[in-house]
Amino acid sequence: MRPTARSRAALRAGTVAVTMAAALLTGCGDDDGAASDTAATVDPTVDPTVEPTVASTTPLATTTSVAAHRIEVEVAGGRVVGGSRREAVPLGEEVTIVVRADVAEEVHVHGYDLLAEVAPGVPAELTFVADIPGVFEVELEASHTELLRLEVA
Amino acid sequence: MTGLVGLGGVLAHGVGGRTDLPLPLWLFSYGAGAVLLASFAALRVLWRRPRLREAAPGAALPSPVQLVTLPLAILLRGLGILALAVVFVAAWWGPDDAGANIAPIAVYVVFWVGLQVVSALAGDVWSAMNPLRTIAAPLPRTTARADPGHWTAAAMVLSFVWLELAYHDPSSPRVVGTWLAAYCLAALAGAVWWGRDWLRHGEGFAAIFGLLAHLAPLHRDAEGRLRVRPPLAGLTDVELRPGTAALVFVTLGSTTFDGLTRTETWIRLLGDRTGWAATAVNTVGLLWMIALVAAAYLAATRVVARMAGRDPVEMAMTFLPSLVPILFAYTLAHYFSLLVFEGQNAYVLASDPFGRGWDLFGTIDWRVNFTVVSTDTIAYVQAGAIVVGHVAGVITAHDRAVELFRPRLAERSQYPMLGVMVLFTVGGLGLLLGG
Repeated sequence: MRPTARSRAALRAGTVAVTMAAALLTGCGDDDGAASDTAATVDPTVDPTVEPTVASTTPLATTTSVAAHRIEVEVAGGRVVGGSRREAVPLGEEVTIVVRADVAEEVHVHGYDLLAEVAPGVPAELTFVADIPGVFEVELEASHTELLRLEVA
Repeated sequence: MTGLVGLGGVLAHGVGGRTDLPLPLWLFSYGAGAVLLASFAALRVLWRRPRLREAAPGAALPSPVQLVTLPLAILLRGLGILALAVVFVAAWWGPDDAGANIAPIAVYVVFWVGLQVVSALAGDVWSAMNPLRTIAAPLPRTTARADPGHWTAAAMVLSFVWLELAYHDPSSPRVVGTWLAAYCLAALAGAVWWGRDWLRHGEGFAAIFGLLAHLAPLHRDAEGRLRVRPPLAGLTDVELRPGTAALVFVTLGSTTFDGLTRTETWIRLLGDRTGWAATAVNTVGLLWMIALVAAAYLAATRVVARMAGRDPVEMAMTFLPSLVPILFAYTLAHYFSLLVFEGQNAYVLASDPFGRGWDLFGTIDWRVNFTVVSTDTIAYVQAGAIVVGHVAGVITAHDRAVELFRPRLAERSQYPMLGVMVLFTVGGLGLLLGG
Protein backbone atom coordinates (compact mmCIF):
# COMPACT_ATOMS: atom_id res chain seq x y z
CA MET A 1 0.00 0.00 0.00
CA ARG A 2 1.33 3.43 -0.97
CA PRO A 3 1.64 5.74 2.04
CA THR A 4 -0.62 8.76 1.72
CA ALA A 5 -0.07 12.13 3.39
CA ARG A 6 -2.83 11.22 5.82
CA SER A 7 -1.31 7.92 6.88
CA ARG A 8 2.07 9.60 7.31
CA ALA A 9 0.44 12.13 9.61
CA ALA A 10 -1.16 9.29 11.56
CA LEU A 11 2.19 7.54 11.81
CA ARG A 12 3.89 10.71 13.03
CA ALA A 13 1.20 11.16 15.67
CA GLY A 14 1.68 7.53 16.62
CA THR A 15 5.41 8.03 16.98
CA VAL A 16 4.85 11.06 19.20
CA ALA A 17 2.52 8.97 21.38
CA VAL A 18 5.12 6.21 21.72
CA THR A 19 7.84 8.70 22.58
CA MET A 20 5.62 10.32 25.20
CA ALA A 21 4.73 6.95 26.69
CA ALA A 22 8.39 5.94 26.70
CA ALA A 23 9.38 9.19 28.42
CA LEU A 24 6.76 8.60 31.10
CA LEU A 25 7.87 5.03 31.56
CA THR A 26 11.56 5.84 32.02
CA GLY A 27 10.58 8.49 34.57
CA CYS A 28 8.64 5.90 36.52
CA GLY A 29 11.41 3.34 36.22
CA ASP A 30 13.71 5.68 38.12
CA ASP A 31 11.13 6.11 40.89
CA ASP A 32 10.84 2.37 41.28
CA GLY A 33 14.59 2.04 41.54
CA ALA A 34 14.80 4.72 44.21
CA ALA A 35 11.96 3.14 46.17
CA SER A 36 13.55 -0.31 46.24
CA ASP A 37 16.91 1.22 47.29
CA THR A 38 15.29 2.83 50.31
CA ALA A 39 13.52 -0.39 51.18
CA ALA A 40 16.85 -2.23 51.10
CA THR A 41 18.56 0.18 53.50
CA VAL A 42 15.85 0.08 56.17
CA ASP A 43 15.53 -3.71 56.09
CA PRO A 44 17.45 -4.84 59.20
CA THR A 45 18.34 -8.21 57.65
CA VAL A 46 20.24 -6.45 54.90
CA ASP A 47 21.62 -3.45 56.79
CA PRO A 48 24.90 -4.50 58.46
CA THR A 49 24.70 -1.69 61.06
CA VAL A 50 21.70 -3.29 62.77
CA GLU A 51 22.65 -6.00 65.22
CA PRO A 52 21.13 -9.32 64.13
CA THR A 53 20.12 -10.24 67.71
CA VAL A 54 18.11 -7.02 68.06
CA ALA A 55 16.40 -7.66 64.74
CA SER A 56 15.38 -11.18 65.66
CA THR A 57 14.17 -10.60 69.23
CA THR A 58 12.43 -7.19 69.12
CA PRO A 59 9.41 -7.01 66.86
CA LEU A 60 11.06 -4.80 64.24
CA ALA A 61 11.76 -1.46 65.95
CA THR A 62 8.30 -1.05 67.44
CA THR A 63 8.80 2.31 69.07
CA THR A 64 9.99 4.10 65.93
CA SER A 65 7.31 2.64 63.61
CA VAL A 66 4.55 3.49 66.09
CA ALA A 67 5.80 7.03 66.19
CA ALA A 68 6.00 7.12 62.40
CA HIS A 69 2.48 5.72 61.84
CA ARG A 70 0.48 7.42 64.52
CA ILE A 71 -2.60 8.94 62.94
CA GLU A 72 -4.69 11.37 64.95
CA VAL A 73 -8.22 12.45 64.09
CA GLU A 74 -10.40 14.91 65.94
CA VAL A 75 -14.19 15.09 65.72
CA ALA A 76 -15.95 18.29 66.83
CA GLY A 77 -19.69 18.89 66.52
CA GLY A 78 -20.14 15.64 64.64
CA ARG A 79 -17.62 16.67 61.99
CA VAL A 80 -14.02 15.71 61.33
CA VAL A 81 -11.72 18.65 61.94
CA GLY A 82 -10.13 19.38 58.56
CA GLY A 83 -12.34 16.81 56.79
CA SER A 84 -11.56 13.21 55.91
CA ARG A 85 -8.14 12.54 54.40
CA ARG A 86 -6.08 9.75 52.96
CA GLU A 87 -3.19 8.38 55.04
CA ALA A 88 -0.59 6.07 53.49
CA VAL A 89 1.01 3.32 55.59
CA PRO A 90 3.53 0.72 54.39
CA LEU A 91 2.28 -2.87 54.32
CA GLY A 92 3.25 -4.96 57.35
CA GLU A 93 3.97 -2.06 59.72
CA GLU A 94 2.28 -1.18 62.95
CA VAL A 95 -0.25 1.65 62.91
CA THR A 96 -1.91 3.51 65.76
CA ILE A 97 -5.07 5.46 65.07
CA VAL A 98 -6.15 7.86 67.80
CA VAL A 99 -9.61 9.40 67.59
CA ARG A 100 -10.78 12.19 69.90
CA ALA A 101 -14.46 13.06 69.72
CA ASP A 102 -16.97 15.26 71.54
CA VAL A 103 -19.61 12.54 71.17
CA ALA A 104 -19.92 8.96 72.43
CA GLU A 105 -19.48 6.75 69.38
CA GLU A 106 -17.74 3.71 68.01
CA VAL A 107 -14.74 3.87 65.69
CA HIS A 108 -14.64 1.19 63.00
CA VAL A 109 -11.67 0.30 60.80
CA HIS A 110 -13.18 -1.48 57.80
CA GLY A 111 -11.51 -4.51 56.27
CA TYR A 112 -9.49 -5.06 59.44
CA ASP A 113 -12.84 -5.01 61.20
CA LEU A 114 -11.59 -3.31 64.37
CA LEU A 115 -13.89 -1.48 66.74
CA ALA A 116 -13.16 0.90 69.64
CA GLU A 117 -15.36 3.04 71.87
CA VAL A 118 -14.82 6.77 71.92
CA ALA A 119 -16.37 9.34 74.29
CA PRO A 120 -15.80 12.98 75.19
CA GLY A 121 -12.46 13.06 77.02
CA VAL A 122 -11.85 9.36 76.37
CA PRO A 123 -10.05 8.97 73.04
CA ALA A 124 -10.23 5.74 71.07
CA GLU A 125 -6.87 4.20 70.36
CA LEU A 126 -6.45 1.36 67.88
CA THR A 127 -3.05 -0.27 67.32
CA PHE A 128 -2.67 -2.98 64.71
CA VAL A 129 -0.32 -4.36 62.08
CA ALA A 130 -1.35 -3.16 58.62
CA ASP A 131 -1.10 -6.52 56.89
CA ILE A 132 -3.99 -6.33 54.36
CA PRO A 133 -3.19 -4.21 51.29
CA GLY A 134 -5.81 -1.81 49.93
CA VAL A 135 -7.59 1.39 50.90
CA PHE A 136 -9.76 1.10 53.99
CA GLU A 137 -12.37 3.39 55.40
CA VAL A 138 -12.26 4.39 59.05
CA GLU A 139 -15.56 5.77 60.27
CA LEU A 140 -17.77 6.61 63.20
CA GLU A 141 -20.05 3.62 63.10
CA ALA A 142 -23.45 4.96 64.19
CA SER A 143 -23.44 8.22 62.21
CA HIS A 144 -21.45 6.85 59.24
CA THR A 145 -19.03 9.78 59.55
CA GLU A 146 -15.92 9.03 57.52
CA LEU A 147 -12.81 9.83 59.58
CA LEU A 148 -10.07 8.87 57.14
CA ARG A 149 -9.08 6.46 54.40
CA LEU A 150 -6.13 4.28 55.29
CA GLU A 151 -4.00 3.35 52.30
CA VAL A 152 -1.90 0.24 52.97
CA ALA A 153 0.63 -0.61 50.25
CA MET B 1 -20.29 7.77 51.88
CA THR B 2 -20.11 7.00 48.25
CA GLY B 3 -19.39 4.21 45.87
CA LEU B 4 -17.42 1.39 47.28
CA VAL B 5 -17.20 3.41 50.39
CA GLY B 6 -20.94 3.07 50.40
CA LEU B 7 -20.34 -0.63 50.28
CA GLY B 8 -17.95 -0.13 53.13
CA GLY B 9 -21.11 0.78 54.94
CA VAL B 10 -22.71 -2.38 53.61
CA LEU B 11 -20.32 -4.40 55.64
CA ALA B 12 -20.24 -2.14 58.63
CA HIS B 13 -19.79 -5.01 61.07
CA GLY B 14 -18.36 -7.40 58.58
CA VAL B 15 -15.06 -7.33 56.84
CA GLY B 16 -15.63 -4.81 54.08
CA GLY B 17 -14.91 -1.23 53.24
CA ARG B 18 -11.85 -2.05 51.22
CA THR B 19 -11.13 -0.21 47.98
CA ASP B 20 -8.30 -0.68 45.53
CA LEU B 21 -4.89 0.88 45.75
CA PRO B 22 -4.21 3.63 43.22
CA LEU B 23 -3.04 2.29 39.88
CA PRO B 24 0.76 2.64 39.60
CA LEU B 25 1.73 5.49 37.27
CA TRP B 26 3.85 3.24 35.06
CA LEU B 27 0.89 0.94 34.44
CA PHE B 28 -1.27 3.95 33.59
CA SER B 29 1.39 5.09 31.11
CA TYR B 30 1.67 1.67 29.47
CA GLY B 31 -2.12 1.48 29.23
CA ALA B 32 -2.54 4.95 27.78
CA GLY B 33 0.36 4.39 25.34
CA ALA B 34 -1.08 1.05 24.21
CA VAL B 35 -4.47 2.64 23.67
CA LEU B 36 -3.07 5.45 21.50
CA LEU B 37 -0.97 3.02 19.46
CA ALA B 38 -3.82 0.55 18.99
CA SER B 39 -6.15 3.36 17.92
CA PHE B 40 -3.86 4.68 15.21
CA ALA B 41 -2.93 1.18 14.10
CA ALA B 42 -6.61 0.25 13.86
CA LEU B 43 -7.20 2.79 11.12
CA ARG B 44 -4.47 1.21 9.01
CA VAL B 45 -4.81 -2.50 9.63
CA LEU B 46 -8.51 -3.14 10.20
CA TRP B 47 -10.71 -4.65 7.50
CA ARG B 48 -12.28 -2.57 4.73
CA ARG B 49 -15.53 -4.53 4.52
CA PRO B 50 -17.86 -5.20 7.45
CA ARG B 51 -17.23 -8.58 9.02
CA LEU B 52 -19.09 -8.68 12.31
CA ARG B 53 -22.70 -8.74 11.07
CA GLU B 54 -22.27 -11.80 8.88
CA ALA B 55 -20.59 -13.58 11.79
CA ALA B 56 -23.36 -12.68 14.25
CA PRO B 57 -25.62 -15.75 13.83
CA GLY B 58 -22.69 -18.03 14.70
CA ALA B 59 -23.05 -21.79 14.76
CA ALA B 60 -25.68 -23.86 16.57
CA LEU B 61 -24.29 -26.08 19.31
CA PRO B 62 -24.74 -29.84 18.77
CA SER B 63 -28.14 -31.24 19.75
CA PRO B 64 -27.08 -33.05 22.97
CA VAL B 65 -26.12 -29.63 24.36
CA GLN B 66 -29.51 -28.23 23.31
CA LEU B 67 -31.19 -30.75 25.61
CA VAL B 68 -29.86 -28.93 28.70
CA THR B 69 -31.57 -25.64 27.82
CA LEU B 70 -35.03 -26.57 29.11
CA PRO B 71 -34.00 -28.00 32.52
CA LEU B 72 -31.50 -25.14 32.85
CA ALA B 73 -34.22 -22.57 32.11
CA ILE B 74 -36.53 -24.11 34.73
CA LEU B 75 -33.70 -24.22 37.28
CA LEU B 76 -32.77 -20.58 36.62
CA ARG B 77 -36.39 -19.42 36.85
CA GLY B 78 -36.76 -21.15 40.22
CA LEU B 79 -33.45 -19.72 41.40
CA GLY B 80 -34.54 -16.21 40.40
CA ILE B 81 -37.77 -16.27 42.39
CA LEU B 82 -36.06 -17.91 45.39
CA ALA B 83 -33.29 -15.31 45.41
CA LEU B 84 -35.76 -12.43 45.26
CA ALA B 85 -37.82 -13.93 48.10
CA VAL B 86 -34.78 -14.51 50.34
CA VAL B 87 -33.35 -11.04 49.74
CA PHE B 88 -36.74 -9.40 50.24
CA VAL B 89 -37.43 -11.17 53.55
CA ALA B 90 -33.86 -10.57 54.78
CA ALA B 91 -33.97 -6.88 53.86
CA TRP B 92 -37.28 -6.27 55.66
CA TRP B 93 -37.18 -8.66 58.58
CA GLY B 94 -33.55 -9.75 58.93
CA PRO B 95 -31.12 -8.07 61.36
CA ASP B 96 -30.98 -4.30 60.82
CA ASP B 97 -27.22 -4.50 60.60
CA ALA B 98 -25.52 -4.22 57.25
CA GLY B 99 -22.75 -6.68 58.06
CA ALA B 100 -25.05 -9.40 59.35
CA ASN B 101 -27.72 -9.12 56.65
CA ILE B 102 -27.33 -10.77 53.28
CA ALA B 103 -29.53 -8.30 51.38
CA PRO B 104 -27.05 -5.42 50.77
CA ILE B 105 -24.25 -7.70 49.55
CA ALA B 106 -26.68 -9.80 47.52
CA VAL B 107 -28.05 -6.72 45.76
CA TYR B 108 -24.92 -4.57 45.28
CA VAL B 109 -22.28 -7.23 44.76
CA VAL B 110 -23.73 -10.57 43.67
CA PHE B 111 -26.64 -9.21 41.65
CA TRP B 112 -25.45 -5.91 40.20
CA VAL B 113 -21.77 -6.70 39.61
CA GLY B 114 -21.98 -10.48 39.39
CA LEU B 115 -24.75 -10.56 36.83
CA GLN B 116 -23.03 -7.94 34.67
CA VAL B 117 -19.99 -10.23 34.50
CA VAL B 118 -22.07 -13.38 33.94
CA SER B 119 -24.14 -11.66 31.22
CA ALA B 120 -21.06 -10.46 29.34
CA LEU B 121 -19.36 -13.84 29.54
CA ALA B 122 -22.17 -16.39 29.39
CA GLY B 123 -25.09 -14.57 27.77
CA ASP B 124 -28.48 -13.34 28.87
CA VAL B 125 -28.91 -15.46 31.99
CA TRP B 126 -31.11 -12.81 33.59
CA SER B 127 -33.82 -13.16 30.94
CA ALA B 128 -34.15 -16.78 32.04
CA MET B 129 -34.04 -15.93 35.78
CA ASN B 130 -35.98 -12.68 35.93
CA PRO B 131 -38.43 -13.19 38.82
CA LEU B 132 -40.46 -10.15 37.75
CA ARG B 133 -41.35 -11.94 34.53
CA THR B 134 -42.32 -15.03 36.49
CA ILE B 135 -44.65 -12.95 38.69
CA ALA B 136 -46.07 -11.10 35.68
CA ALA B 137 -46.72 -14.31 33.70
CA PRO B 138 -50.56 -14.08 33.92
CA LEU B 139 -50.58 -10.56 32.42
CA PRO B 140 -51.25 -9.96 28.71
CA ARG B 141 -48.10 -9.72 26.57
CA THR B 142 -48.83 -6.32 25.11
CA THR B 143 -51.28 -3.46 25.48
CA ALA B 144 -52.43 -0.77 23.08
CA ARG B 145 -50.14 1.79 24.69
CA ALA B 146 -47.00 3.00 22.87
CA ASP B 147 -43.83 1.28 24.10
CA PRO B 148 -41.47 3.64 25.99
CA GLY B 149 -38.34 1.91 24.60
CA HIS B 150 -35.35 2.08 26.91
CA TRP B 151 -36.34 5.33 28.62
CA THR B 152 -38.02 3.55 31.54
CA ALA B 153 -34.98 1.27 31.85
CA ALA B 154 -32.63 4.26 31.99
CA ALA B 155 -34.74 5.85 34.76
CA MET B 156 -34.86 2.58 36.73
CA VAL B 157 -31.10 2.02 36.49
CA LEU B 158 -30.60 5.64 37.55
CA SER B 159 -32.69 5.01 40.67
CA PHE B 160 -30.42 2.08 41.52
CA VAL B 161 -27.06 3.75 40.91
CA TRP B 162 -28.30 6.80 42.81
CA LEU B 163 -29.09 4.58 45.80
CA GLU B 164 -25.74 2.83 45.59
CA LEU B 165 -23.45 5.76 44.83
CA ALA B 166 -25.16 8.96 45.92
CA TYR B 167 -27.48 8.17 48.83
CA HIS B 168 -25.73 8.52 52.18
CA ASP B 169 -26.86 5.23 53.74
CA PRO B 170 -27.05 2.68 50.91
CA SER B 171 -26.00 -0.22 53.10
CA SER B 172 -28.93 -0.25 55.50
CA PRO B 173 -30.95 -3.44 54.95
CA ARG B 174 -34.22 -1.52 55.46
CA VAL B 175 -33.18 1.07 52.87
CA VAL B 176 -32.35 -1.73 50.42
CA GLY B 177 -35.72 -3.36 51.25
CA THR B 178 -37.65 -0.15 50.68
CA TRP B 179 -35.94 0.50 47.37
CA LEU B 180 -36.42 -3.12 46.28
CA ALA B 181 -40.14 -3.03 47.07
CA ALA B 182 -40.56 0.25 45.20
CA TYR B 183 -38.59 -1.08 42.24
CA CYS B 184 -40.58 -4.31 41.97
CA LEU B 185 -43.88 -2.42 42.27
CA ALA B 186 -42.79 0.02 39.55
CA ALA B 187 -41.74 -2.86 37.30
CA LEU B 188 -45.02 -4.70 37.81
CA ALA B 189 -46.99 -1.49 37.25
CA GLY B 190 -45.06 -1.12 33.99
CA ALA B 191 -45.95 -4.68 33.05
CA VAL B 192 -49.65 -3.94 33.67
CA TRP B 193 -49.47 -0.66 31.74
CA TRP B 194 -47.43 -1.76 28.70
CA GLY B 195 -47.87 -5.54 28.84
CA ARG B 196 -45.50 -8.14 30.27
CA ASP B 197 -43.24 -8.11 27.20
CA TRP B 198 -42.15 -4.65 28.33
CA LEU B 199 -40.25 -6.42 31.17
CA ARG B 200 -37.85 -7.85 28.57
CA HIS B 201 -36.37 -4.48 27.67
CA GLY B 202 -38.17 -1.68 29.53
CA GLU B 203 -37.19 -2.78 33.05
CA GLY B 204 -33.74 -1.46 34.03
CA PHE B 205 -31.82 -4.62 34.86
CA ALA B 206 -33.29 -6.69 32.01
CA ALA B 207 -32.20 -3.91 29.67
CA ILE B 208 -28.65 -3.47 30.93
CA PHE B 209 -27.90 -7.18 31.39
CA GLY B 210 -29.44 -7.83 27.96
CA LEU B 211 -27.20 -5.19 26.42
CA LEU B 212 -24.07 -6.69 28.01
CA ALA B 213 -25.12 -10.18 26.90
CA HIS B 214 -24.42 -9.07 23.31
CA LEU B 215 -20.74 -9.35 24.24
CA ALA B 216 -21.06 -13.02 25.11
CA PRO B 217 -20.10 -15.75 22.66
CA LEU B 218 -23.25 -17.70 23.66
CA HIS B 219 -26.73 -16.66 22.57
CA ARG B 220 -30.11 -18.16 21.73
CA ASP B 221 -31.76 -17.77 18.35
CA ALA B 222 -35.46 -17.23 17.61
CA GLU B 223 -36.09 -20.97 17.97
CA GLY B 224 -34.38 -20.98 21.37
CA ARG B 225 -31.34 -22.95 20.22
CA LEU B 226 -27.98 -22.21 21.81
CA ARG B 227 -25.40 -20.86 19.37
CA VAL B 228 -21.77 -19.72 19.61
CA ARG B 229 -20.51 -16.65 17.80
CA PRO B 230 -17.19 -14.79 17.58
CA PRO B 231 -16.48 -12.04 20.13
CA LEU B 232 -18.11 -8.66 19.34
CA ALA B 233 -20.24 -10.12 16.52
CA GLY B 234 -23.26 -10.01 18.82
CA LEU B 235 -22.98 -6.22 19.04
CA THR B 236 -24.34 -5.94 15.50
CA ASP B 237 -27.77 -7.15 16.60
CA VAL B 238 -28.26 -4.82 19.58
CA GLU B 239 -31.84 -3.55 19.39
CA LEU B 240 -31.57 0.22 19.40
CA ARG B 241 -34.66 1.79 20.92
CA PRO B 242 -35.61 5.28 22.03
CA GLY B 243 -33.62 5.84 25.24
CA THR B 244 -30.91 3.25 24.64
CA ALA B 245 -28.37 6.06 24.63
CA ALA B 246 -29.65 7.30 28.00
CA LEU B 247 -29.37 3.79 29.43
CA VAL B 248 -25.74 3.50 28.30
CA PHE B 249 -24.84 6.99 29.55
CA VAL B 250 -26.40 6.37 32.99
CA THR B 251 -24.47 3.13 33.46
CA LEU B 252 -21.17 4.39 32.07
CA GLY B 253 -21.50 7.70 33.93
CA SER B 254 -22.25 5.96 37.22
CA THR B 255 -19.12 3.78 37.09
CA THR B 256 -17.09 6.85 36.18
CA PHE B 257 -18.59 8.68 39.15
CA ASP B 258 -17.71 5.76 41.38
CA GLY B 259 -14.10 6.16 40.24
CA LEU B 260 -14.28 9.88 40.94
CA THR B 261 -15.48 9.36 44.51
CA ARG B 262 -12.32 7.38 45.28
CA THR B 263 -10.03 10.26 44.37
CA GLU B 264 -8.36 12.61 46.81
CA THR B 265 -9.96 15.53 44.96
CA TRP B 266 -13.47 14.26 45.65
CA ILE B 267 -12.76 13.49 49.30
CA ARG B 268 -11.64 17.11 49.70
CA LEU B 269 -14.67 18.40 47.81
CA LEU B 270 -17.03 16.36 49.96
CA GLY B 271 -15.23 17.72 53.03
CA ASP B 272 -17.00 16.95 56.30
CA ARG B 273 -20.49 16.68 54.81
CA THR B 274 -22.58 13.77 56.04
CA GLY B 275 -26.19 12.66 55.67
CA TRP B 276 -28.40 14.45 53.18
CA ALA B 277 -25.77 17.14 52.58
CA ALA B 278 -23.43 14.41 51.28
CA THR B 279 -26.29 12.89 49.28
CA ALA B 280 -26.94 16.25 47.63
CA VAL B 281 -23.30 16.71 46.61
CA ASN B 282 -23.10 13.13 45.36
CA THR B 283 -26.33 13.48 43.38
CA VAL B 284 -24.97 16.54 41.60
CA GLY B 285 -21.67 14.72 40.95
CA LEU B 286 -23.43 11.63 39.60
CA LEU B 287 -25.71 13.57 37.26
CA TRP B 288 -22.82 15.76 36.17
CA MET B 289 -20.72 12.72 35.31
CA ILE B 290 -23.56 11.13 33.31
CA ALA B 291 -24.01 14.43 31.44
CA LEU B 292 -20.27 14.65 30.78
CA VAL B 293 -20.12 11.14 29.31
CA ALA B 294 -23.20 11.88 27.18
CA ALA B 295 -21.82 15.23 25.99
CA ALA B 296 -18.47 13.74 24.97
CA TYR B 297 -20.08 10.93 23.00
CA LEU B 298 -22.75 13.10 21.38
CA ALA B 299 -20.16 15.71 20.37
CA ALA B 300 -18.12 13.00 18.61
CA THR B 301 -21.09 11.47 16.77
CA ARG B 302 -22.26 14.97 15.78
CA VAL B 303 -18.92 15.53 14.02
CA VAL B 304 -19.34 12.13 12.31
CA ALA B 305 -22.85 13.17 11.21
CA ARG B 306 -21.53 16.43 9.75
CA MET B 307 -18.76 14.62 7.84
CA ALA B 308 -21.21 12.08 6.45
CA GLY B 309 -24.10 14.51 5.90
CA ARG B 310 -26.32 12.32 8.09
CA ASP B 311 -28.73 12.94 10.93
CA PRO B 312 -26.88 13.46 14.27
CA VAL B 313 -29.43 11.38 16.22
CA GLU B 314 -29.11 8.50 13.74
CA MET B 315 -25.30 8.61 14.05
CA ALA B 316 -25.46 8.74 17.86
CA MET B 317 -27.70 5.65 17.83
CA THR B 318 -25.79 3.65 15.27
CA PHE B 319 -22.44 3.79 17.08
CA LEU B 320 -23.87 3.07 20.56
CA PRO B 321 -22.98 -0.65 20.52
CA SER B 322 -19.29 0.33 20.42
CA LEU B 323 -19.72 1.76 23.95
CA VAL B 324 -20.90 -1.59 25.34
CA PRO B 325 -17.39 -3.14 25.61
CA ILE B 326 -16.18 0.06 27.29
CA LEU B 327 -19.09 -0.09 29.71
CA PHE B 328 -18.17 -3.65 30.67
CA ALA B 329 -14.48 -2.75 30.93
CA TYR B 330 -15.35 0.04 33.41
CA THR B 331 -17.42 -2.38 35.48
CA LEU B 332 -14.58 -4.91 35.62
CA ALA B 333 -11.98 -2.26 36.41
CA HIS B 334 -13.99 -0.76 39.25
CA TYR B 335 -15.69 -3.79 40.76
CA PHE B 336 -13.42 -6.79 40.13
CA SER B 337 -11.88 -6.72 43.61
CA LEU B 338 -15.28 -6.06 45.19
CA LEU B 339 -16.62 -9.18 43.55
CA VAL B 340 -13.74 -11.43 44.63
CA PHE B 341 -13.51 -10.08 48.19
CA GLU B 342 -17.03 -9.06 49.21
CA GLY B 343 -18.48 -11.89 47.13
CA GLN B 344 -17.00 -14.16 49.80
CA ASN B 345 -19.21 -12.48 52.39
CA ALA B 346 -22.29 -13.45 50.41
CA TYR B 347 -21.12 -17.03 50.72
CA VAL B 348 -20.73 -16.58 54.48
CA LEU B 349 -24.12 -14.92 54.99
CA ALA B 350 -25.91 -17.45 52.75
CA SER B 351 -25.58 -19.80 55.71
CA ASP B 352 -27.72 -17.51 57.86
CA PRO B 353 -29.68 -15.21 55.55
CA PHE B 354 -32.25 -14.10 58.17
CA GLY B 355 -29.91 -13.70 61.16
CA ARG B 356 -31.42 -16.64 63.05
CA GLY B 357 -28.10 -18.16 64.09
CA TRP B 358 -28.32 -20.80 61.36
CA ASP B 359 -25.32 -22.34 59.63
CA LEU B 360 -26.88 -23.96 56.55
CA PHE B 361 -23.71 -24.46 54.55
CA GLY B 362 -21.17 -24.49 57.38
CA THR B 363 -19.65 -21.21 56.19
CA ILE B 364 -20.82 -18.81 58.91
CA ASP B 365 -17.43 -18.60 60.61
CA TRP B 366 -15.50 -17.97 57.41
CA ARG B 367 -13.69 -14.69 57.07
CA VAL B 368 -12.90 -12.85 53.86
CA ASN B 369 -9.59 -14.00 52.44
CA PHE B 370 -7.90 -10.90 51.10
CA THR B 371 -5.08 -12.92 49.56
CA VAL B 372 -7.09 -14.79 46.88
CA VAL B 373 -5.87 -12.20 44.41
CA SER B 374 -2.88 -9.93 44.98
CA THR B 375 -3.02 -6.16 44.62
CA ASP B 376 -0.74 -6.52 41.57
CA THR B 377 -3.24 -8.86 39.90
CA ILE B 378 -6.05 -6.40 40.62
CA ALA B 379 -4.07 -3.57 39.03
CA TYR B 380 -3.36 -5.66 35.91
CA VAL B 381 -7.02 -6.67 35.61
CA GLN B 382 -8.06 -3.03 35.94
CA ALA B 383 -5.66 -1.67 33.32
CA GLY B 384 -6.06 -4.73 31.08
CA ALA B 385 -9.87 -4.51 31.11
CA ILE B 386 -9.88 -0.84 30.16
CA VAL B 387 -7.33 -1.28 27.33
CA VAL B 388 -9.05 -4.40 25.90
CA GLY B 389 -12.45 -2.71 26.23
CA HIS B 390 -11.13 0.29 24.34
CA VAL B 391 -9.74 -1.82 21.49
CA ALA B 392 -13.03 -3.75 21.29
CA GLY B 393 -14.92 -0.45 21.11
CA VAL B 394 -12.67 0.85 18.33
CA ILE B 395 -13.13 -2.38 16.32
CA THR B 396 -16.91 -2.31 16.75
CA ALA B 397 -17.18 1.32 15.68
CA HIS B 398 -14.86 0.71 12.72
CA ASP B 399 -16.91 -2.25 11.52
CA ARG B 400 -20.07 -0.14 11.68
CA ALA B 401 -18.38 2.70 9.79
CA VAL B 402 -17.24 0.53 6.88
CA GLU B 403 -20.75 -0.91 6.77
CA LEU B 404 -22.32 2.54 6.49
CA PHE B 405 -19.84 4.68 4.59
CA ARG B 406 -17.54 4.57 1.56
CA PRO B 407 -13.95 3.58 2.50
CA ARG B 408 -12.48 7.12 2.63
CA LEU B 409 -15.36 8.51 4.68
CA ALA B 410 -15.34 5.42 6.88
CA GLU B 411 -11.74 6.07 7.82
CA ARG B 412 -12.16 9.82 8.31
CA SER B 413 -15.35 9.34 10.32
CA GLN B 414 -13.43 7.28 12.87
CA TYR B 415 -11.16 10.16 13.99
CA PRO B 416 -13.85 11.72 16.20
CA MET B 417 -14.89 8.27 17.44
CA LEU B 418 -11.29 7.45 18.32
CA GLY B 419 -10.99 10.81 20.02
CA VAL B 420 -13.92 10.16 22.37
CA MET B 421 -12.83 6.58 23.07
CA VAL B 422 -9.28 7.64 23.92
CA LEU B 423 -10.84 10.25 26.21
CA PHE B 424 -12.98 7.62 27.97
CA THR B 425 -10.08 5.23 28.30
CA VAL B 426 -7.43 7.65 29.50
CA GLY B 427 -10.07 9.25 31.73
CA GLY B 428 -11.06 5.84 33.10
CA LEU B 429 -7.45 4.90 33.77
CA GLY B 430 -6.76 8.36 35.20
CA LEU B 431 -9.52 7.97 37.78
CA LEU B 432 -7.87 4.72 38.90
CA LEU B 433 -4.76 6.74 39.81
CA GLY B 434 -6.76 8.01 42.76
CA GLY B 435 -5.08 11.44 42.74
